[in-house]
Amino acid sequence: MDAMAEIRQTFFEECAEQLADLEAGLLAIENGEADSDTVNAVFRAVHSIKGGAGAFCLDDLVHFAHVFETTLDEMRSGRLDSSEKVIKIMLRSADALADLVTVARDGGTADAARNASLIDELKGLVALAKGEEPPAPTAAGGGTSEASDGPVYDDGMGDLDFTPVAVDLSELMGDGGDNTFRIVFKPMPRMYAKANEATRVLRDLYALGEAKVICNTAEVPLMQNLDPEGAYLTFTIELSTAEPEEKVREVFEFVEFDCELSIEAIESEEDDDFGADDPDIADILNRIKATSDDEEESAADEPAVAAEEDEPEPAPKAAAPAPKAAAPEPVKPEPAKPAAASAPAKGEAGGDAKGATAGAGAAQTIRVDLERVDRLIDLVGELVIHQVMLSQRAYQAGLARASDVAVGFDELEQLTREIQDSVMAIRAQPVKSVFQRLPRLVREVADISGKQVKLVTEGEWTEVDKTVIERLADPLTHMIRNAIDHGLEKPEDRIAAGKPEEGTVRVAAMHRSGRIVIEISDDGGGINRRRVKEIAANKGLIPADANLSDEEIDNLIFLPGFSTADKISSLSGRGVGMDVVKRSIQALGGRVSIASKPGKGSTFTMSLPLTLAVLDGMIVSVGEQTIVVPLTAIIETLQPKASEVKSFGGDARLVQVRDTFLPLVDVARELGYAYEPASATGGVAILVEAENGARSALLVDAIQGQRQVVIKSLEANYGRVPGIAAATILGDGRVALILDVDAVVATSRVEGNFFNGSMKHAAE
Amino acid sequence: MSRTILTIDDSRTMREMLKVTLASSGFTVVQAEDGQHGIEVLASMASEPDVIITDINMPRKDGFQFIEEVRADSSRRAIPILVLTTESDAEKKQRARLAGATGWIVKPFDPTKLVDAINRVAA
Repeated sequence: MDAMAEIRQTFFEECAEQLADLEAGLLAIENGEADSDTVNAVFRAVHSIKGGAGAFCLDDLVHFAHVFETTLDEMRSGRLDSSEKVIKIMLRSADALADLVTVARDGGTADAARNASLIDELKGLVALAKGEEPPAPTAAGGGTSEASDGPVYDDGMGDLDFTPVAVDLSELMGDGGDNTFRIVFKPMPRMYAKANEATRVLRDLYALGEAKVICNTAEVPLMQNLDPEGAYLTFTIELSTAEPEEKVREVFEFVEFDCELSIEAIESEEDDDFGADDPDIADILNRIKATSDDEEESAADEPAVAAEEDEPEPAPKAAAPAPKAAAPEPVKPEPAKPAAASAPAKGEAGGDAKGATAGAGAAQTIRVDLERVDRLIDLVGELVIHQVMLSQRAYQAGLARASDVAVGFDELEQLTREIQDSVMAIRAQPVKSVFQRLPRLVREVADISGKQVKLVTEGEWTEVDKTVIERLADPLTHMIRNAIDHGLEKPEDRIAAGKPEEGTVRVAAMHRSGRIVIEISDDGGGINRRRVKEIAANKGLIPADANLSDEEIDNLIFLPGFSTADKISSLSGRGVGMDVVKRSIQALGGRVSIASKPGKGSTFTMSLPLTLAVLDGMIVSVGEQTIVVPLTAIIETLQPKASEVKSFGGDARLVQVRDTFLPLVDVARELGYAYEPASATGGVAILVEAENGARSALLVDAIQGQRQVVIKSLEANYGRVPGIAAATILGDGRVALILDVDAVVATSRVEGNFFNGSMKHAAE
Repeated sequence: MSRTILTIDDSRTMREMLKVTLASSGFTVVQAEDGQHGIEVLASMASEPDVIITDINMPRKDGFQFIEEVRADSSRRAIPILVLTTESDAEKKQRARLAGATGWIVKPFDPTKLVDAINRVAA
């Protein structure tokens, strides 16, 4: 069912929000920044998850949430102190709850053993809370402890919940034939004050079977004494039904404490002439009196609650007319004629639903299909291009720079840029959604590695494109793991080094010159350069006697195949090293750099574009064509001298860049624009690095400039073209292809496989 | 004319669930996100809802406070109010009742029971 699938999705989205609130709240409590609102919000988060989970029959989740909620309720009511120990258990429970949500959403299995032990711990906390103060069983939330006086509340109420069993039971019992019940029902004024209606109760009784109703109007006073809010009628009903007594009682579920009620099973034959003669009625009336006296006892507890809760007093006993204590405002006249009584509520109720709906629309956000936003971004991109083209053509046609039209063009340009920025901003989201997952990660990694870690996040409201955020999570996670696992020292080592036992990992996001920069820094031991160099040499990544600067050594950890851990730790050693991190950041058009001070710690800095819809490119000429080389892949440009270019068999060429030789890729030939090799010395060589770290020099004719271009997918309309990543439209309306640097570099390396040997040779 | 139900719940999931269930039974649904919002929405409605269904645990103004505030207005005492609660325990129901609730529905609700409960209290 489609609607359900959608609600399910909503549920999981909401779970994510609530889990975030839960964690944030618990952390605030831990830091002593909490007030009662925080505790309530934390409670509500778990409560809501439980509620939704129940609707989807996610039993494990419901069970865990229930235990968790019960414990939080103890905290909310102040019986359970929010000590560090308690909060730690709750934080771990929050993690477990998050796992259960994930399992419920994506399948898989939860860590049953951990959950079971957490449930025990949570229950232990409840016991602790109750132990300190004798259990106030159903603490009447408002603090009226005497109100929780058992019988009134518990009497049968639980049984009247909607349980499927009740239905089965009635069917089973229904087979036994008709039951007859004599029901005496006397509403109290307060029943009407809660919008319950005697007539509706009667209607429900009629639905159960055959009912004879007698309305006793004896108590109705004279008009001048009549309290419009009073309740004067008593109904005596004889009900013949196939349903069991339970079902009959259920009809009174909502009103049973706001009326005098007796239900008893009678022999159906006996009272065939029910109500026909006065003695019978007298008998009934006696019973009413008796009943009301009975009720008095159970009702006696209520005023205690009622007084607190501003409840109108219960109606006086059957004999007393016109209760003075009833609320001052007229609610609704006593339904003297059952049939008419339901009229007032119905009156205008069906009314103008449209007006109502309009009034309710107070939403602050709207949810929009991402495709629509992308379509808009696309169109705005076109708009910018056309605006530039139009103004260029106007000037070419001899438009004066100072003319009104030119001023109009300037304003139009300003406006289109603003539109472009605003539209891009629609896709932007705060990095908070990624940052808020970090505390848990840090806790887990700290636990496993036996280190004490404090996480500090800054700039969580910094906004960046949604896609960038989504793809940021993995590299960020890995870098934080690394910072804790490799960066921070063990507590004892830290103490020995004169540092606080607890290490700090700081994650900060900020905007810097049109990009987002994320810094991950730790106050650990810094990169052990001697060790890094040793490993790199052992793995053959550098010559053993290589003379490297500190910075070069630090950057060795980004080399494929480098992994500092001799022992594969369960944390960082998940088969991915920093080279993977670097590659995934580069895939986003980003760069990562490292700065490390021995004994002081390391800082990794990621710099990413704010959006993937535009790209900083270098516009170059190749043959007759203009192509775009992504700026992030470019290391440097140079004009090769004849002496630096070496030819090897065929067309393969190498260019010497300082002490290494790199394959020289003739882009024009590579893309099929030219047959003849271009002269290496006549062009420009662009040094590029692919995501996997391989480098090549691209030979192009000339560099035209740098600019931001809007990426247009070719694959959607054209199919995949080797060597081309996408296309763009330049300001003058020309289409330019964006070079797929990875593919070009890879091809050049395959073709020139023999280079590897030669390169080393040449380098030595 | 279809009946109008005002649903008040801070959980989007619950609001959607109620909306789908009620709409498929022919009710017109108006939503509010917490007790305070519920009061505002109620005030903005051109005509009063036939039934109000409200959650209890909500930020800003909880279900109890909402009900008390509605009932304090004498012209609104006739609006049936059902409380939605995951609690099956009697205490919450009683507090809701004392606040002026007409009846209650236990979450997770069975759609039939939900509609039954509405029919039971609606005029």
